Amino acid sequence: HHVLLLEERRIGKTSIIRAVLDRLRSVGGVGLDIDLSDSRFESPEDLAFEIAAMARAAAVGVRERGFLRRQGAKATKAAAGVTHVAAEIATTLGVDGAGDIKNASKIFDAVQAQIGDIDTAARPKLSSVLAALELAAQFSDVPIIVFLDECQRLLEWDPVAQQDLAFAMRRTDSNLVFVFAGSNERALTQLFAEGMPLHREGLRRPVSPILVDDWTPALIERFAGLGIRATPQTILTILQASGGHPERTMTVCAIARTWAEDTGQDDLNDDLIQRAITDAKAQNSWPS
Amino acid sequence: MAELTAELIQRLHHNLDAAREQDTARLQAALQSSHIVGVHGEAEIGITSVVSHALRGRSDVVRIDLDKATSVGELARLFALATARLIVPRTALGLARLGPGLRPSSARAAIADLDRELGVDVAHLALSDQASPDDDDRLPIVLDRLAMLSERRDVLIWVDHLQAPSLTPRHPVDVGQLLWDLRSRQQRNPFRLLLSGHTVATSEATGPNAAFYGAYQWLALTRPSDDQWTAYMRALWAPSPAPLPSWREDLLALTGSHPSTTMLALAAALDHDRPASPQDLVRRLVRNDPGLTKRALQHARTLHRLGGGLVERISRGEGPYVGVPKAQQNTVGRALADLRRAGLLTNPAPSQWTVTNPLTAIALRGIVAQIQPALEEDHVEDPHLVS
Repeated sequence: HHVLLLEERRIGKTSIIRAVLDRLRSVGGVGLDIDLSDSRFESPEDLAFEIAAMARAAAVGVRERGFLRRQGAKATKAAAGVTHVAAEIATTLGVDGAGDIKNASKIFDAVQAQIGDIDTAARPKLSSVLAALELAAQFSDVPIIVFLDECQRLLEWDPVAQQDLAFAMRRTDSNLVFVFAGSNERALTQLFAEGMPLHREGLRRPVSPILVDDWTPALIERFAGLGIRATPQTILTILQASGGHPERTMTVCAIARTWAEDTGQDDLNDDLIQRAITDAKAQNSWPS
Repeated sequence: MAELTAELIQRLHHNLDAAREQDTARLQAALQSSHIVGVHGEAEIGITSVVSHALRGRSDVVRIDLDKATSVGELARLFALATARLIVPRTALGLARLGPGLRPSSARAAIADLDRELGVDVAHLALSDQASPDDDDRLPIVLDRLAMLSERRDVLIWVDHLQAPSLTPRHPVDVGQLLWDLRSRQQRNPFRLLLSGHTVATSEATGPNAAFYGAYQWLALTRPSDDQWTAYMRALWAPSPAPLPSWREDLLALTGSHPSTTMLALAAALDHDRPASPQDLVRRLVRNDPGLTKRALQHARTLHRLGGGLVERISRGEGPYVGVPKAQQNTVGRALADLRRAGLLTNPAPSQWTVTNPLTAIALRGIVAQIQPALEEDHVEDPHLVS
């Protein structure tokens, strides 16, 4: 399912998604992490080029072709099994006709044409690159997640970019999943508002707060790895001061660690924690 | 008067660095606990000096001075060159710019190292004397390579003079976008970031829609304190006793603790058993003005049609809004903002204005005497005015 993360800034949206992408890759999936705030992205073609480059680096398409060669007749049968999906998508890539659709090689040639070694001066179409990704995801049955961070920049481009993404998101059984996040709440609300191409019911997912029961063992373990002993009460004191906000919590922990190391202490006592909290609150990033 | 030799100038600056050790220590502590640190202050208080001193001895610093970034391509070249300095020694970099037939083997090895670490294109840019218009597109690639380098070694990117591009209308370098470019990479790569510049530029980094909103630790620097000047003078006069506290207080009242003016005055007082009075010292400095006051007024007029007049009024301690009709107060506000951003005026406290360089102020008002900062009076706050 496609996801929109729309939360206050500095809550950890990017970190969460990056952790998800890392886990996906560890089990053979494909995660494409794209930050649209980068100045290299000025148009949908720039996005298409980057998606193609990242997909190529992740061996998308190549891997599936290799699988098909090894599988032979079985692969053609597998390809036929997704014909009804592939036909629709393949048309986007200029692969027509029932005969062609049953020939998986031609489909993958079409995929490779989009995300293979392309001329750096080429300006690929976003719709074609997304179609190639979708085909590859269908055949391999391996999920591909495309994470578009700072996606509010889509509002600055030709609306065709939103339409192309919306078209690629239309199927609920697709292995191609989009995750959107951004820093500008107002712009994001506008981008995904009713009537806009990317509007979907249920797209927005809240970022759940981290529970004390999850914070406590994790932080105790992290401190232990640094040779510093922390107790559940110590962690609770930190969380009460930080309100459980991820960045504020980690800021206190980082300062506490520095204090402990500078003073040669291996125990987070109350005095040290209070000093760390005081120092953390003095930072500009701590809301007054 | 002690002659201003290179050695004396170095001693003057070195002693001030030592006297500001507390500021240095604050910054070093901040860099230990935060991945993003900012240092800001009014013009001519020595931000670059303090930061340089705090980073002394480090071999992981990529320093970018936005004063030198005349185009996006040139910014890319500056990043490429600063990154190259992390990889090969400066001497080897210099020799690498020689023609192929003249390069020693050490330079050839340096080029090979750069090609391997940065890629041929970025290495070539690092060795160029100046950027070409085509290099405008290279900035993302250069930043990518720098970010990748930070996976293999410690990297601290220091972007200095954040306010510089905003001083010129239609400057090609967009500081806000540069910071977003750095942010997107810092979220994925482990480098540290240090931003420094005039206080007016902080919103570029930390405003509600800016790249580092809520993600920073800002340190505000001010002119050296009385205590810091006391320590400074003690070290400067050692082993002889430093001038009396009353003499020091009178001098600082005239210079407003402006670092370079105070150092010049102290240099003028050295080598005398009984230094001249602070008034005489400052008067001498004003008389020796090689045309800086005239240049400052000219600069003020180029920034805004009211600029010259405002600088003159504020030098006399007169409020910038006194006698100004309400309908024109927004215009005065904009002029003040322009003059402050350019470093001609200082806003030491809310609603207070001074001319940044005390010698300019004294030359304009014609009297060597301390005056209170000009206060904003009869000013109606305009919520739509961009400061």
